[in-house]
Amino acid sequence: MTDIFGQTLNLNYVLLLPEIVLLIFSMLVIGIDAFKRQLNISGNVPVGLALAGLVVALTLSILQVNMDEDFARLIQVDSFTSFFRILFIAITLVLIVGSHEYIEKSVSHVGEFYGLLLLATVGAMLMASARELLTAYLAIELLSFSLYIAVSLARSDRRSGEASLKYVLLGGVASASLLYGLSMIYGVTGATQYHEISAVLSAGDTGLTTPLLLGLVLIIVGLGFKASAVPFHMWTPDAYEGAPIPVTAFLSATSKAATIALFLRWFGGPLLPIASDWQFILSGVAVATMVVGNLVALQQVNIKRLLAYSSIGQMGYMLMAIVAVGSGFGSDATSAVLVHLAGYIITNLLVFISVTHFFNQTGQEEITSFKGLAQSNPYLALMITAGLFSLAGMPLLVGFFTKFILFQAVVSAGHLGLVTVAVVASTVSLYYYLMVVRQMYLYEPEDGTEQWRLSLTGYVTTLALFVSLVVFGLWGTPLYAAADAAAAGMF
Amino acid sequence: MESETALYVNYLPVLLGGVVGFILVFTALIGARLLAPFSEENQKSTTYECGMLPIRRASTNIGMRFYLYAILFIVFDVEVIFIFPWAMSFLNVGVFAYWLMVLFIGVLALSLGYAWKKGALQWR
Amino acid sequence: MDSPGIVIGFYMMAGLVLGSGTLVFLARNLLHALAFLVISFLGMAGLFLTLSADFIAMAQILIYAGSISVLMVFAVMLTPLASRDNGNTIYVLPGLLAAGGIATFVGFLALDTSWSGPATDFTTTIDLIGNLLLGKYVLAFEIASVLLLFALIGAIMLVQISPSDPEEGEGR
Repeated sequence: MTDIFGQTLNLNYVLLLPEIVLLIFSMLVIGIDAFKRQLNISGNVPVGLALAGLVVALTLSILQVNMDEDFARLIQVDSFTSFFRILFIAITLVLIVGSHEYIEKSVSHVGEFYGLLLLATVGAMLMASARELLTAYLAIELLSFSLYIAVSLARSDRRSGEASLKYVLLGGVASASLLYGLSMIYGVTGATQYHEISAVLSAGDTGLTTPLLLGLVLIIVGLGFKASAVPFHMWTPDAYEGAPIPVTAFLSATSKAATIALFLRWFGGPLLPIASDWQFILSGVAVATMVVGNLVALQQVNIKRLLAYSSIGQMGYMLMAIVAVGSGFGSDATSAVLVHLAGYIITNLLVFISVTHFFNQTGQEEITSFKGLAQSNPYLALMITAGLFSLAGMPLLVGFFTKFILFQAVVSAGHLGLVTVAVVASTVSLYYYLMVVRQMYLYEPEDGTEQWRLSLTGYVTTLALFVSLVVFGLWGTPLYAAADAAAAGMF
Repeated sequence: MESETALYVNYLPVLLGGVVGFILVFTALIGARLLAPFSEENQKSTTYECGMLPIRRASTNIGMRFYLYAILFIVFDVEVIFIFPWAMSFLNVGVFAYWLMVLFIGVLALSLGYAWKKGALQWR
Repeated sequence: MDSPGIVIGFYMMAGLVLGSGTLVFLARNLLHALAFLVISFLGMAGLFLTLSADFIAMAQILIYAGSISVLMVFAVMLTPLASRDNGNTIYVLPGLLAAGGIATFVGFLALDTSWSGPATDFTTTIDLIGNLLLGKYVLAFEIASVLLLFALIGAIMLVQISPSDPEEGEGR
């Protein structure tokens, strides 16, 4: 159809089917849960519905893998979008299967919780697929809103409300700054479509350097908050600590990946012509993020806080690669970021799901409470060790392979200094990952060597993640091919 | 010049209303101040000039639940903001606009249903 | 906004915003401060109006002067009595410095840049915005409704006192 300005709009709703399906299922889950007493249904229906919705959406996204079409010039369904769609749906799927016992036991408002997870997934998917500033902003809000609420849902944990409050207040400031930055970009270019902005900016000097620079700074502040880049990371440890563990995992996986997707879309697209203006800001942020994230992690005693700082450090590596995107190596650097993102997410999910099961059994999350886990549950200890080693970038595991590709891409873009910092930071990170491993293997368990087992779904998810950890570590070609295709769609 | 002020002509009544309203209230206040007799006695500031002395301050805390009404109010207020421009361009766009608004209000009606079901609208 | 009446109106409104804004932090009573805040919101709406942004002016009145201020009054009424006055803060100096810095920067930005506005020839902006919402930004319109739905669900979930949590009660 054409709108009243005479522009043709391609309203092909099939393109949005994965998102629409997830939205409908998310409302359905919440609705069914609200009426569960009247309908007289068992407690398993919400989780079943959520999983069904995710599987349908995953199938639809896989069917759309080779598409390259836009919806009303607001959403672009290309291989980049498909990569992230499949990634995000898979994360939520694995999280729900892997930690449904935890959710039923330690989360208040279970039905709404599943609905919020689905909604957050939709927000993340829209963030990766938007091709226009306003839609992208609303998608960010969709993701953030659902996470603000989900963070506060840990039952009988006073830290949860505090975490949510901090996250909401700082998130609101970040959103405001982002919106102000976007309005500056709009004011300078007069466009919200990515390709129009890019055209205006590459046409040459707009004569509006100061507002453009202010816009860039504000956008980096806003997105940096979402990516918990230093110095906008203050909320991260508190939110991670207070949130229910699956939400913490979601924050460290989907929320971060969606932000990186947006970074790639914006800084590899509309803002690429002014790369020289933002490259130095972003490299400063990346260096600070790598250094602070990894150094502060050294003195953590809570496993969730440790993983929070570790994920801050990991974001630093990816921001560094976004600097490389600005140096004209867009396609290579983008595919390196995507590979690293996928590897990081597989690893992080393995660690978080293992920690979730540990918490289910012991109710503790201090690092010292992992003492002697190698005796009481050798399988879980092995899983956590593999995950932490992969995060540190040990060979044979996926973390090594992806980190290698990432660093190589940044070096070939000519940012040797950044990579040096990254290598040093990554060496430091090995120390605090080993701290946890040491607790598990070198100490006797405090409360007896009684063995305990995971649930069946726990075994299935951790084993699946572990297998992909090892397989992709030895043979990363499929991952690399997928990332390459996704990056090729963008440049 | 004609076109430049076209937007503002629409808002002249608002300006007029504001000015007149201000003058009315201001003169009433000033008039009361000038004309009414005042007495300065301590008794005047007590709650009851004759009778029991109050034991506590009259204002107490209201239940936290009332905050929910304010939040519900904001959400539906924001919804109204979207309906205004829709109403202005409804005739230009046609049936498509109608269904868009049906969807919009439908989704928000779900939220009302949820609030109802969860007892958020109940006066307790 | 070249005609003198509108320029005068702009500066009057600016004065209103600044004056009532100052009174917000000079007022000793928190409720008085809120009343001045509402006046400042109204003045802001007037500013938008003199800048030919009538839709935003309306939204400002409806949302800020209308419901946000109600929310704030509720917040004051619901908190314990002890905090009813507009207390002193130790952050006066940093606050003033930050505000001054931002004002200087934005002022520099506004004066330094040669902004080009669109040629205004309209009687209202509301139908333009409506056409955009129903055409170019059709998806944003629907996402907004979903966002509102979940904002409301979240608000209800957070405020609701769940029966399984005995420690949450009155006075929280």
